[in-house]
Amino acid sequence: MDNIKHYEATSLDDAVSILAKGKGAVCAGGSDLMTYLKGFIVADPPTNIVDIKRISGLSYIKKDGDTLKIGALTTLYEIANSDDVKNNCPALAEAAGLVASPEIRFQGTIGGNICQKPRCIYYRNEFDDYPCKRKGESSMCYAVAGVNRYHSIFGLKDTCMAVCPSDTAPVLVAVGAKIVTTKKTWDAKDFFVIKGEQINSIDADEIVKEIQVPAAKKSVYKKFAFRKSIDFPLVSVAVAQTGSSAKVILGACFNEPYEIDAAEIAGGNFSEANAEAIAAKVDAKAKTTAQNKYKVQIAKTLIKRAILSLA
Amino acid sequence: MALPEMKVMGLGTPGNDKIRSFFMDDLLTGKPRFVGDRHFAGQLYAVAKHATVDHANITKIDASEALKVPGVVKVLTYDTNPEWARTAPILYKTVPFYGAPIALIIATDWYIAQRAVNLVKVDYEVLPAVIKTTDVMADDEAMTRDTSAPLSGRFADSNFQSSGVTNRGDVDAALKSAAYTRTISDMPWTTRYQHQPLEQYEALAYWSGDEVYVYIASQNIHGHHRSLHNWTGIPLNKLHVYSPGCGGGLGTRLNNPEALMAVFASKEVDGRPVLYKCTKKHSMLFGGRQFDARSVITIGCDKDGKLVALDVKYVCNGYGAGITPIFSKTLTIPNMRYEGTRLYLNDQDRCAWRCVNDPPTGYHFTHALDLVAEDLNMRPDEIRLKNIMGEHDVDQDSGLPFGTKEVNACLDKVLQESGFASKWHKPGTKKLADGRLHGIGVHCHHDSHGRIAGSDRATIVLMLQDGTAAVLDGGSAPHNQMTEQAIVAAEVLGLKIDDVKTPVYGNSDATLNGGMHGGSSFTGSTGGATMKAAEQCRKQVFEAACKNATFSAVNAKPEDLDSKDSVIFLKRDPSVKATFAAICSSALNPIGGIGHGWNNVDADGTGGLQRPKDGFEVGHNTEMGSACADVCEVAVDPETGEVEILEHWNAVGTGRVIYTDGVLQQMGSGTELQVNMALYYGDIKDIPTGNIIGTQYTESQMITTLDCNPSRYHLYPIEGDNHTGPLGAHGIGEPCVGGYCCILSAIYNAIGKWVDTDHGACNPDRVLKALGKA
Amino acid sequence: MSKETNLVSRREFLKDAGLVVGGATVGSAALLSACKNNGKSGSVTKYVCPLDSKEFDSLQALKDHYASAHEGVALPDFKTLNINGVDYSLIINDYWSLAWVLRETLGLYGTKVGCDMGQCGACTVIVDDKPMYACLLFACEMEGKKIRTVEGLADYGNKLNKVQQAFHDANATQCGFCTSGFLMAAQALIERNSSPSEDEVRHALSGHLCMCQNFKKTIEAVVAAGGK
Repeated sequence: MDNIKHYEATSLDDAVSILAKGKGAVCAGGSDLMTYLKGFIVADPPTNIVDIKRISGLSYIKKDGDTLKIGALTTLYEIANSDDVKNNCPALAEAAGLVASPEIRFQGTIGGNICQKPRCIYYRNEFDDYPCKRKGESSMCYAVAGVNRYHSIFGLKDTCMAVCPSDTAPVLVAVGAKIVTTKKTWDAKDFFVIKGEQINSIDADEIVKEIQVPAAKKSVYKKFAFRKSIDFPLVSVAVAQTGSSAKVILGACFNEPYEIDAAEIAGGNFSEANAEAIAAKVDAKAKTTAQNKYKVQIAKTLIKRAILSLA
Repeated sequence: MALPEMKVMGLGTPGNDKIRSFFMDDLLTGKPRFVGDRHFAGQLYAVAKHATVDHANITKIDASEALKVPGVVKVLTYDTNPEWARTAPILYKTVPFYGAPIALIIATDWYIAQRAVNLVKVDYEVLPAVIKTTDVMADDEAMTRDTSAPLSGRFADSNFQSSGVTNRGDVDAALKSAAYTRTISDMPWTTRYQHQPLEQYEALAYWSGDEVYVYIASQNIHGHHRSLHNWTGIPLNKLHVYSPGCGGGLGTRLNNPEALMAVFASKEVDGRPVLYKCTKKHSMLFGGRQFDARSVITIGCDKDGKLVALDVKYVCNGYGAGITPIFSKTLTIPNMRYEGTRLYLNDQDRCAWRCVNDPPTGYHFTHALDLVAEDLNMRPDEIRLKNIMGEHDVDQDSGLPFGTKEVNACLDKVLQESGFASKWHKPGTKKLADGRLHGIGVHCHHDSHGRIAGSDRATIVLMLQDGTAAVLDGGSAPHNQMTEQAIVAAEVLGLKIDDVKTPVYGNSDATLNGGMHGGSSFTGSTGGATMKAAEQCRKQVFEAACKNATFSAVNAKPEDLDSKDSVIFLKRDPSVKATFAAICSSALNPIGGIGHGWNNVDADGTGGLQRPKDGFEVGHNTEMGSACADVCEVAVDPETGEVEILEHWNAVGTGRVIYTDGVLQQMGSGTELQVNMALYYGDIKDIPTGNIIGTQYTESQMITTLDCNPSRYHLYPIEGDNHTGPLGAHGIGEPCVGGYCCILSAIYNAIGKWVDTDHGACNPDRVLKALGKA
Repeated sequence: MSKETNLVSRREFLKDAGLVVGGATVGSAALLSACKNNGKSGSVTKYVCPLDSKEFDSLQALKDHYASAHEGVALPDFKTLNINGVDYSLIINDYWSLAWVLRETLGLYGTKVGCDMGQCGACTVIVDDKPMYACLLFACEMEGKKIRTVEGLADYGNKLNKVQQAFHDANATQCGFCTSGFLMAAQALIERNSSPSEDEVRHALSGHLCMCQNFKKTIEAVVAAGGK
């Protein structure tokens, strides 16, 4: 990464214009970008690093009626400890508070968390060791015949088994959040559609500005990983009731946040029977391998426990 | 047995627990205390390219793209190796294991070098490889050799390093007539990450004329000195090896090829300082060490659980393992056959760390005993209590007495403190209030560590004019070991601990060729050397004192004197006294001593028993070892497979405790490490190729503070008198990590199923698999 | 480099490290010794040209020199980093992490690099009161921040601050490689929460690995530092 050039953008327009030149990458907190560059993951990595932290007005948490508006540069620590977030969308505070480690939460931003790159171990290997489809370097997914213990339990998408590693992503989808970029306003569900290496569908010269989070006072996030800190989720679930609907969204189970139909709890009936019924739907949809079958068990358990916790 | 009263050493000695680790404050204030903590003008950085195949000939290396990167100074390969480096373990032409270094990139900074590494193109002619012990076994049960297995390439005509059989009594006859027999097959294994210190492997070297200066974190300065000399032919007096602090990983800080890399690289850039620095990934590939073991154990008992026969076939790769006393020295078993075989595999050859062989070996042992106990309707502690060797037993094979034998005391202690007997229940039968399953397990063993070894240890002790002592044992790291040596010197001399100094750096120029100064045999061997050197000083100090007016006035002879707290006094009238400072400042001759350690095996008059024991005389040869016992209580979430250690009791036979905090630190570390090994450590290896693909901490999963409950770990040092050790001491760094199997045993007790730990720890998915939920 | 000793002369150190130190008191003991500076205040007021090692008394003089002697060559950008209360004017390559600059440019080796990937915590420093991994921070982005390292905890002196003293009293280091990182996380915690419970301590330190596996002592020390 010695051949990068670091730009300090003075405004979002300035940042976009640098990105439009190509080979660009946004640097928000920088934690994922740094590991991406140091890992020599792709043969042709970005060399124009655009620091957006000097742009004012991108770090805030404010209430606008029933919606929380959170600037993209707001740190995960701030979100996890914000009374507004804890009161209006507890699942988001929980998810932000479970990302990685305390130090990463002080540095990392919500915008960065939803733009990070996958964690599949083959993907994260050096470009000449495992040139995989997700990196655009072959038509292979090495996980299929290799280690897929941490990978998708709902099959491949675009020949890729990597999961969406973001803790906040399933929450944003569950509450029906909107993600405002320099180009448009996305529904979270449409935002988290994979495109190339990205876990979202924004353009190379598009920058996340703001997350708009509807009120979801009955919401919860549960995370499962082998370790209780530092680790990315192996399975996670966000359950949220917004208005008269409820969503159960699995994280780290597929390339994108994955919805499990939750009609039973739309009216707020968080009973054991309903929890069981919803959890059971995972079995029907799952396409597991011998190595990752356990994730179905974990997913069902988390779904049940999450729903019951809202009772 | 009552231990002699000590002045500074000992668990109960007042003030011993106040001793603070030497140089700790330097670490607390961020002083530069590790190899990489320096920057010489003109310093360059070197990074190696590591082979990504298990076994291959390199047919072509193309560094042209790498050389174009601005800041890259040179790229070195086997072909550019000077003659003297051809037989050394650097820059191979035939790759012996995945991760072997095959090219060295030297650049103006570390990141430039790393980018250039990835631009070096290598063509391999792939050769057949053996990467698991089972690759060379024809029949898993009989464990016969597969003579058609490809050769590892480590040894021209065989994959077998060595093999040994211990025969005791008549195992076949005993098994035939035993009331009960059972055969258990096992294949647990340690991960590569177990051996991974936080300070990655690095070395710095520069040349000044025909002399070279090397900085390397070393637990054997003179080993490094000698091996560098042997590899390169550079005269010993032109080769200066310095060891600043060592960031962990003892066992892997011996004869490191990275020192050679740095020397070689620096020579190739006209002597400019070169820091060879591994990234985490490269450390893992280059320095990691995996232990792969396979066993078939047959146990024969009478109907009451008294063992009559033990037949063990044990195969493992590489260093230090294979023949282990755990099987043969923990329980009384009249008939035993132990066949241990070590293999060459296409695997890293790095040394053992934290007793790499004990955890998996202990597991084979615990697992087998627990299964047998269950068959016989006994509790796991009962079968052990029934068969355990006692304090005064002699070794069943050699007939030698044990220098120290505390395994029964350790077992008694943890069983008592934990209330094991009342807490144990049949497997899979106890649920806690929160729905989790409760389990409890026990383990005990006597192993070969903490032994006295290494007759070439050497320590110099010098008395300075101000009455303080300088202890030069060749080492500097880690700091609690250095502290120990200072305590030994203080004890023998009768000084306050503050009046003993040790150097910050290990320095091959300033100490005698003295072997390993860090690691499991350090306390005993180097401790012995320090003791002897200090004894010589004491003799000279007392002789000098007798010439001093204070004592000459009463016609004192050296044997009339004693010393304590830096004061020398007349035994029959302690009011007649003088300080060390007074005596040393007026001494007519310099005062110093040189001690060499002893090796218990070569009874050279200083080895063997130091005090009579059980009717054996001083000087009699002995068996060595350390004892350990663990009890662990767990809670298993049956819906997620997560395991929480509720409480853990650990007792270790410590011999004489030299340094209370040092011992407690080691024991505490051991209990925490067991959690890593039992529940978290993993290797991520690609399945089709067997290549290592996970090399970051997120894959290796070392525990965080949220993954263990250290306040619920109870540590019981069982202080005893090691009759072979200096002042009764011996090392305890390893045995406390061997009990990880009691965690696995506790999990079995919780869920009623043994978790398959072939190739991995008891991660939740494996627990769920055992429960039939995955 | 001097052949007789391995001490680095000030000129060589400054030139090679691209370091220019402007007018304020230099606090780093390591840097002082490297600079062979024996002034009582340790003030270094020379500006060294990275291209020809000539020395000047002011930044303006250096700029003038560039204009005349190295016409057409852009003067590298100087960034000012505030480390432990002292301003340093530095030439920082775009790709250098804060950990790299602290260690290799400023000679502040207390911050350790364990994994260089933000997974072990050994490189933790405090940035504007927040603990962060220095290996994940671009040094060139650190202008205007107050950065504190382990050397600054006790103001470069040999005295220990409250957290360091608690570690000392608990004898809470083994090899010591992870220690700096733990100290900075603990310091930041105590500043946020003066008397943390054991649970709060374990949470705050959960971004740190220790291969000697010495958590028991470390947690005890930090709890004691808070005096609960």
